[in-house]
Amino acid sequence: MTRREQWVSALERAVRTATVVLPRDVVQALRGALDRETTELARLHLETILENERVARENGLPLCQDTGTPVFFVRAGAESPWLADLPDALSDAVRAATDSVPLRPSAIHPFTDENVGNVARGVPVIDWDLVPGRDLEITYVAKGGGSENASGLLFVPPGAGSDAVLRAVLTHVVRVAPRACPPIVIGVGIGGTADWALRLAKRALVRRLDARHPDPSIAAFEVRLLDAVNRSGIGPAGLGGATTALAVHADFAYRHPASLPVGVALQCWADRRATVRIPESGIAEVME
Amino acid sequence: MIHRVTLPIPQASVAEWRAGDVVIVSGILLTARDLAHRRILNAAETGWDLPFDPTGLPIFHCGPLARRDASGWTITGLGPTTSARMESSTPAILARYQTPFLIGKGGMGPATRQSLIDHRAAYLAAVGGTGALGARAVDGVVGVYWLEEVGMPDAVWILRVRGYGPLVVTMDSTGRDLHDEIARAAETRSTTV
Repeated sequence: MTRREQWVSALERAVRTATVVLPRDVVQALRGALDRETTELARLHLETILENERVARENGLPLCQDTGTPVFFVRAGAESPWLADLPDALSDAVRAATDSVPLRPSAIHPFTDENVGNVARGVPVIDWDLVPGRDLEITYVAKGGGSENASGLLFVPPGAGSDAVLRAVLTHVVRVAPRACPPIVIGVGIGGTADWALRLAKRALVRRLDARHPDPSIAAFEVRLLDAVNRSGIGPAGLGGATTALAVHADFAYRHPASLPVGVALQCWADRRATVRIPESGIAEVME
Repeated sequence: MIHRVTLPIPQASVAEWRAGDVVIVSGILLTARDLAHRRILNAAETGWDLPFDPTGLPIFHCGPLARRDASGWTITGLGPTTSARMESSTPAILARYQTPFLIGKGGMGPATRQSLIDHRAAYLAAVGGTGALGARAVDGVVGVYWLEEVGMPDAVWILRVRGYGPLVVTMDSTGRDLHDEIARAAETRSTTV
């Protein structure tokens, strides 16, 4: 097996795992939600979601028929000898998984509506985060269309403080959450430029659900927003209940004096992700 | 209340379903997303014969995931897509094809709400993301249309299902709309934070 084949095989396995097996932290969060819910409909919806998780895992079936836009978040060690080889391997892995899992063909030309599969101009999406070091850490996320349509870019009056940010995000999330397959995961990027705010929000989605931001003020914001969103009563599947979101992950960047952009990225309860590491040795390894 | 129904179902039965009821469906239905809705209506307007007859079939807002081998098609993922995209074309479809009910997620708008009253039909919410459970409920693929033209998710799939559900009646023929009620309540609660 050549190095390239070994990578593609490991990456394809990660794509399959993400598509079929819900990460353990997400299952735990869903079980916790089921324990908290008291109404019949909310419990029925969470039981159905957990039953679906079991059926998918035991039968090797995709969790959702929308196998998503393939997105790779790459923490790229600037001194890795393998940087240049990675993009083609990512595309090959998506092609292979499209045949083997199979994934639904979900790359469509915006004007002609032609559906060309899952590898095309701009697909898979690759987010590069250049970091010091010699390792590549690649997290695959299957991004569903319903939750993507619920993204938001908000412009909060600068200087209005964290309460104003919280109210703006809450108003947006309450409006869109019913269509994003709740209970959702909420990523919030605060500050920076408009594109950067959204990028921070997207990257924040990749964290483990129980991880809080190391900055105490941001961590406190995460806790407050989660509480406020869950008090909305939107609930599982948007049909009422105490669990509208499983987690809030926020991040921030310093802002321009005249500008406070806030990016909001949502992921459905099917928070599908898996990670592959390629160290300096060049042997790719799927992480637990 | 739980209704276990076998299709075809008389409109009078659907008219008795109430918001909050749970439905488990067996029988033949068709999938159609926004592209398929536009193609169906376009055919109706231009007098072009459809290659299938949607009359009396429930419409499932769904882009399935399917695998083809020597023995034919197997559905490997079946679940609802966002119904709001079908809002503009749904009243015309309901008026023309005696659709008994719709299955989707997220609910629909005021035009569909009125149309459900007019045609004594209902909207049923499936749990988003539960594609594996849906796939297991498929008994067979009766036909697939427009696959070459629009691709797998947007094609019209006519499927036989057995025990598909739970589906929740969220918009009924009396005009009740759970999506709208919950959204209004959520908005009120969030303004007090």
